[in-house]
This record gives sequence, structure tokens and C-alpha cells, in this order.
Amino acid sequence: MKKKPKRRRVNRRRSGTSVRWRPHWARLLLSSLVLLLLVIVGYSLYLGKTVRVKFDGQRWAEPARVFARPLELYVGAPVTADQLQAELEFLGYRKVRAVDAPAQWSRNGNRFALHTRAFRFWDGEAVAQSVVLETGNDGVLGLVGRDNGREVDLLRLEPALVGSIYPAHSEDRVLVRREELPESLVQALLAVEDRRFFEHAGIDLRGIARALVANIRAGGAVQGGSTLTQQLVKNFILTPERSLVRKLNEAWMALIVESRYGKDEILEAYANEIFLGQDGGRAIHGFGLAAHFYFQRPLSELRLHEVSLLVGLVKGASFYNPRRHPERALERRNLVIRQMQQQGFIDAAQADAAIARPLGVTAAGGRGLQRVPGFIDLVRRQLRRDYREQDLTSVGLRIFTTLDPWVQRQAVDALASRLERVEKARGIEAGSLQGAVVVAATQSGEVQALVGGRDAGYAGFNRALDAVRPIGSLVKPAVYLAALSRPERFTLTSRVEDRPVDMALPGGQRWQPRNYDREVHGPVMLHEALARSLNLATIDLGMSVGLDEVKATLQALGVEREILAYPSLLLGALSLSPFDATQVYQVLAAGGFRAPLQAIREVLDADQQPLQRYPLSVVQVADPRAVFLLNRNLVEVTESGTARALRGLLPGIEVAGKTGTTNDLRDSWFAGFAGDRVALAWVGRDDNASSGLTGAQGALPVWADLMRRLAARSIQLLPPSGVEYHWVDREGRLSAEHCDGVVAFPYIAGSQPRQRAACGDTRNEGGFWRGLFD
Amino acid sequence: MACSIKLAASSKWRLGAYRGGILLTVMALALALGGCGGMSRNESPASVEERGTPRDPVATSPVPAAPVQGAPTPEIAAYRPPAVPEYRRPEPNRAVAALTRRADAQQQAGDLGGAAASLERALRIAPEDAALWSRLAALRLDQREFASVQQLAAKSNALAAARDDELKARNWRLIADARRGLGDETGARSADRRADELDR
Repeated sequence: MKKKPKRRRVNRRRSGTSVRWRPHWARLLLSSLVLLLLVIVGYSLYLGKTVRVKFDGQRWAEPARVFARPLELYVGAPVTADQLQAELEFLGYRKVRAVDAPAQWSRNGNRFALHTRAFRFWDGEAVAQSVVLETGNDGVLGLVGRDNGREVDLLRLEPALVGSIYPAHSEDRVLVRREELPESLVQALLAVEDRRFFEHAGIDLRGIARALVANIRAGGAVQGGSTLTQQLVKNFILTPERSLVRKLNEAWMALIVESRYGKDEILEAYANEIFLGQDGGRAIHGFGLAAHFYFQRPLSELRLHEVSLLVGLVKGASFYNPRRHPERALERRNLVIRQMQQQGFIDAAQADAAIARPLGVTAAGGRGLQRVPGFIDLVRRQLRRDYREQDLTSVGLRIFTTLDPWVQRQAVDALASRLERVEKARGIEAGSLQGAVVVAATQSGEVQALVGGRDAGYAGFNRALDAVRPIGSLVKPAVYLAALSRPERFTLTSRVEDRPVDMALPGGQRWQPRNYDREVHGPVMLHEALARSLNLATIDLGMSVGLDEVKATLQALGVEREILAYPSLLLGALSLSPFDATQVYQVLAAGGFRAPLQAIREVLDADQQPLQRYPLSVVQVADPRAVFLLNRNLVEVTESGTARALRGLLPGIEVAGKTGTTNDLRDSWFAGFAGDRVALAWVGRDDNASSGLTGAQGALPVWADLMRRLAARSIQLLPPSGVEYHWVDREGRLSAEHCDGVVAFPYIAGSQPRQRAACGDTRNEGGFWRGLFD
Repeated sequence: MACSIKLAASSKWRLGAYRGGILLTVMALALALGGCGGMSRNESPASVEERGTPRDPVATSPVPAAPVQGAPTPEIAAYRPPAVPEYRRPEPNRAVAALTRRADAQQQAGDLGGAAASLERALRIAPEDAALWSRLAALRLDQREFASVQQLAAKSNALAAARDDELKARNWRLIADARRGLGDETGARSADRRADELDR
């Protein structure tokens, strides 16, 4: 106890020697000042750090931008006039009377003049081109350059921006650099928000005084005294309270910002940070994205009246929301224009011309950019294999996808309109049905459209990816493929038995499945069993092929989910998402070559340098000969089997496909292929109650509507080498063409029936031919 | 039996690459094969007309078959006799030709990735063009992606179906090279034999 004070005294003496002469009160004042200074310095440091984190951080947090596929135009391209016009609207090209600048088009009947934008593609820069294009019923008839009149081989329009992958706090933006800000935008900002921006040091006392006077004169708040810098800081702080402390904080931070950063940097940050609208759960930040959001064009293409509107929104994006309150927005816009005129940025004629223009805002989710949350969801999931979530949402990747906006629109419309019709026609509660559609390019597996529900613009439950449901008879082709891959045992004309099934289940229960028509059909040909989707015959076939064989076939066809090799598997006791099931049918459509369904082609980094390419890849997973036989059988399904309704819905077009229906009509499926596309539709209810629809009643018409809208062509099935056609009679015996009731079936060479019918036994007639060709 | 003969025959006359030769051969064969390819002996009207015409490509839209009397029918529509493959490799359209030229130039300049991108672009325009798939396989050989070469060449073969032996021979040689690249000499020799058979 005694030692401590002693030591303290010593210490004090040492440190305090220099101030001993000062009076007591002065020491107190000085230490308070030091303390205050420390607090101020500390707080400044803290604010400075906040500013730095926000400022530098915000500058780089650019969500990945997602682009659709670019439309390729060439003579013979299957692009109709309507489709081309829709594409130009997706791209936000202006319709004009005479085309004289990029991003413009005009139309005269089936003749289009259009001037593309320059665009940096994965494989290089494409310059802007001006062409004349003529379309006919089947596609592009002529494509000629406007400058030299020469035919153009190929013209690639730039891809439409269809969305972005933004972080959890839902701020979306399209970054623009200072030099990309149109001069008129800067002028308008100066005119209405901060006249002395380039002179002041963060706060503008004169501006505050002027605003005060102006507001008193006008009897309300017409001008704000906040500088752009203060507004930017306000966005950083992110608390909505209005208090003096906050105002002081703001001013202080503004001074810090100004001391650290140049005017151009501040302006750039402001232009990217400012809140300009709300799109559902997505916050629209910055002029770059706002230009797309309101006008569906890049900022650089906006004209004076459009720029003025965006600047007008700074004051209150929801109060002046041009889609909800067009009159208010118009008034505000015109005020901005007049202010610009008053400050001498524009002359009276320019101002009058701009004021005479309508708002020009595109309808939300209207003809312009359609929302494709379901597809973006898929892109995001596929990117997650290669990128960190954080990089996706912040480093400004440019993602080039396989989405075909035209196909997507047809799929969305086909689903929505058909479900409405089905509900009405069958007295089903309106809005109770749900659905999903997936469309892919047959050979490459590129996903062209993905619809996750009836309200495709709504980013909710993505049924195409997440509605994992029993696929019912959609599984059957795998059973038949497993069989046909063993030509020594099974052919299209093999006999299978449609007979009652009664199996013991592990729990002591019995499994007694029945045919849809509750009949038993006895011996039938294999092709007939699939065409009529006979359950009992399929079980007979599947059990003799072997459940493990069927399971292996499904895995080869791309099923990655768990497959339980129980007999019920043969009738579709296998749960897949519509997307998973589409992969299976892609392999069939592509003749046994699996091309993994993919949504992404290329990724560029923020500097537009190539980062990654997803190359085309195919793997042969099934015998093309067996797949050909199966596909002919799937054509039979659509011509005379369970999907024969397609004959009326798609007259004259040869398609292949299969219906699927699950217990109590819970799920209605149809998967098939036509032209060079494979597509799948699912219809059911979110609560998994009965939809009251078979595959042929719900999903099939959706699929047919889609194919009709896409002007689908017949499939092109060529017999691969090693497949021969033989005339066979109703008993499955080898016959000849001239005999009654014979049909020519394809066989894997050597597997044709041995047994000969009495008619057409050519063994004694064919000597001449044998000599000639054997 | 007669019709499988027709198929075998047809795959031989395709070798005559010039049109006049083909035409003559077709006419000669059409005469000779009258019994097989000509008119049907079946009583039914619609479906019969269709299987009759020997040069009907498989791809044409089917006339929905009218039910055949007494037969459990319409399924006949799905099964038609083989189209006689009067086959010439399709002339690529200008766009595809331009992209192939571009790919050639890129490949020569050593830009293999760019060449692959150009060929994939061409394949999006003509996804069933067997020659394009073969071209891509050849490029992948340059990139030493041997597994991919074999798959793409097999795909080309499948799309060529029962025609274009010249292309298929080329594909088998690519497969042979790829197998050699993987150190599979036996496999390579067997692929070479397949190519030789087709070249003969």
C-alpha cells in the first residue's frame, strides 16, 4: 500500500515537469481541448473510413449483367417480320421514319431498314452496321448493306440485356463511367440539384441561402440546399431520420469526401449510387440502370427530355414515378428542362421541343424487356459451380446466355393462355393450376426458354427447377429404350403381355397397378404398348429387361437424382423436375447423344475481357439405332397413341413425344420434340392436389400451343446405318409390301423377325436380286 | 427383303457425286425396283401413296393415315419405309460458309478458341449439318481434346446416317487419331479399318 503512491508521484513528476508552471484552469482547458480534438479526429477517422468503405466499395459493386442470345440474321434465317420487330423492341431500338443512326429501325411491309449498335462480343468487337432486310413467311429473304448494296453474309444483332444478378440487399445497377455520362445529364443535375458543384468544397453555404430564399418566396420546398456530394453521402448513411445531427454528419462527411476525391469521381459515384426507382423487390440505383428500366436503352442513347425525366426523379423516385404518376412526372421533367434553359444550358427552342415530347417511358413488363426471373435463376445456379456468389453480384461480370427472348415469350404466353382456357373449359377454379415449361435446342442442349410458373415475371417458386414431381409415364421411353437396346431380345414388333400384375411389397401390402382404361389387353406388340401407354405391358417388359437395366438407362439419359429400382419405377415412381426430365428427352431427340442442358455460353469480366467459355459438348450415351426405333415409336404416340390429339393441334407436322399422368391426376406432363427443339410442359397444382387433368389434357395442349407459335417444323429422323425396314404382318411375321395389312417397321439389322408369313415369302422368288446385290 | 435391298443399293449409287449420274441411276433403279418401291399392293389409300414414292425424303410431313380397313391401324403412319437417300451433302448457306471460312482463318492464326466459337456459331444455324460437326471434331484434335474429338466425330457419323461415306471415313480417321493421342493403338487401328471400309 505504501509503495504505490510513491511510484505514482515519481511518474507524475517525470511526465508533468514541462507543464508545472501553468495555472490549474489552463491545464483543465487544454486537456479538454485535447480530448475534444481527439474525439473529433477519432470521429473524422471513423467517418473517413465509412466514406472510404462505401465510396470505394460502391464503385465496384456491380451486379453481373445477363444477356440473351444474339439474334443471327442471314438469308434463310427462320426469322419472321413479327419476330424481328419484337427483337428490335427487346433491344430498345427506336422506330424512325428514316434510319440514320445506330439503334434505329424502320419498317415498310416486310422490308426493314435497321442500324445496329456496336457491341463487344466474346469473340471481338462488332461495328455498327446499317442494312436492309426483307422477310417472307419462312424467314429472311434478303439482307443487303445500305452503304454498298452488297449482300451481307451474316449479321449478329447485339444481345438484349435481360437481367442482372444482384446481391441479397437487392440493389441493382448498370455501372457507367464519368466519361459515359451524357453532357445533358450533368447539366441537368447542375441546373436543378447543385449549381455550384464544380466550385464548392462539399457544402454550399450560398446554395443553402439561395434555396432558403427561393423556398420562402415559393412558400414551400422547391429547391434543396444539399450539394450532390451531400446527397451522395446521404445515400451512404442509409438512415432515413431527419435530424440536425444527421445533417451535421452529412456535411462533415461531404467535406471529407471532397478532400479525398476529385469532382469527376464524386460525380461518377453519384450517378451510379442515386436511387431512381423500385421494381418489386429490386432497387434501381444509378442512371445507367434507370435508362434501361424506364426507356430500355443505354444511357448514351437518351435524348434531352428523357435525361431530364431521370434527373427529375432524383428528388423523389416514388413520388414522381412516371409509370404510376405520369402527370407529376411530366411536370417535374418540364421543370428540369426549364431550369436548364434558365441557366443557359439549352436555348428556348430546344426546351420547347423537349417539353412537347411525351414521357416515352416503356410499360413495365410490357413489350420491352421481359422479366425472366426463372431463367436468371437457372443461370445463377449454373454459374455457382464456377464462381463465388460474391463475385457474381459485385464484379460486373457480363454473362452471355442461351435465352431466346422470342421463344421465352411464346412459352410464357402459351402456358398462361392455355391454363386459363383449360380452367374455363373444365370448370376448374380459376388460377388454381400451375405449370412450367422448358425449351432447349435439340443437338446442343442450349436452354432457349424456361418458365417457372404462370406469372413468369414473378420471381417466386421456380417450378421448372424446383417442382420435383413423379414423372409418371414420361419414364416409359427409358424402359423401352432399355429393351430396344437389346435387339437380340426385343424389337418394335416383339410380343409383350398386358396382363394383371400383383406383387408383394415389403410392408406386406400388395401392388396391383392397372391400365388407365382399367382393361387388360393381353398380348400386344411392343410398339403398341408404348403408343397406348399400357401400364401392365410396360411392367411385363420392364421386368424382363430388368429393373437395374432400366435404372442404368435413366442414368445414362442424364438423371442424377436417386432412382429406386422398384417395379413401380416402370410406371414413373421417379420424381424429377421439369428441367431434369427435359434432359432425358434431349438425349432421345438428339439420337442418343447427351448435351448437358446449359444456359450460359460465355462470361466476360467487367473490362469486357473473355473470362470463360462453355464449349459445346456431347456424349454418346445410347445406341443411335435403338434411339431411332424408339423415336419412331414416339412419333406413333403422337399420331395414333395417347398424344394423338396433336394431330389436330399441329396438323401436318410430324412430332415425337410422350404424355405422363400421375396418380389421382396430380401431375400432367408432356415432353417431346419437333423441328430442332425439345420441349417439356408440366401442369399441376402447388398444393399437390388433383389437377383433374391427364397429360394429354393439360400439358399436351400447352406444348402444342408453344410449338404452333414457334412454327415448328417436322422432326427429321433419318435411319442410322444398321437400321433396316422390313414389312411385317399383324402377327409380327416377315411379309412383303404387296401383302394385306403389312407395315414396314425399322429393325436393327439382323433383328428382324425370322418367322415368315405365307404371303410374301420371297425365298423362292428373290434369286435375281440376291445375285445382284449380296 | 426387297426393300432392304433397295437400301443397300441406294447407299451405293450415292457415290456418284454428280447429279446427272445420280438421276440416271435413280431412273434405272426405279425401273428395276418397280416391284418394291413403286405402287403398293395394299388396298388402303392414303398411307400407301406415301410409302410408295421412292424418293420421298423421310422428313416430309406425313399425310395423316386414313384407317386401313380391318387393320388396328393408324399407327402405320409412324412407320414408313426407308426414304431412298438421294443424297448430296447440303450446300451450306452463306452464313455457315462465312463462319467456316472465319474458323479456318482463326485456326490458321492459332486462335483455336476463336475458331471453336465460330464453328459453334455455325452449328447453331445448322445444327444437323454432319460436316460441321466433323469440322469441329478436327479442330478439337488440334486442341488435343481427344475425348471430345471422338464424341463429336461419332455425332457427325450419326447425323450422316446411312449416307455420305466419305464424311464418315473422315470421321473414323479423326477417331483413329484421337485414340492414338490417348495411346490406344489397337482402338486406332480398328477405327482406321472402319475408315478404309468406307473409303473403298
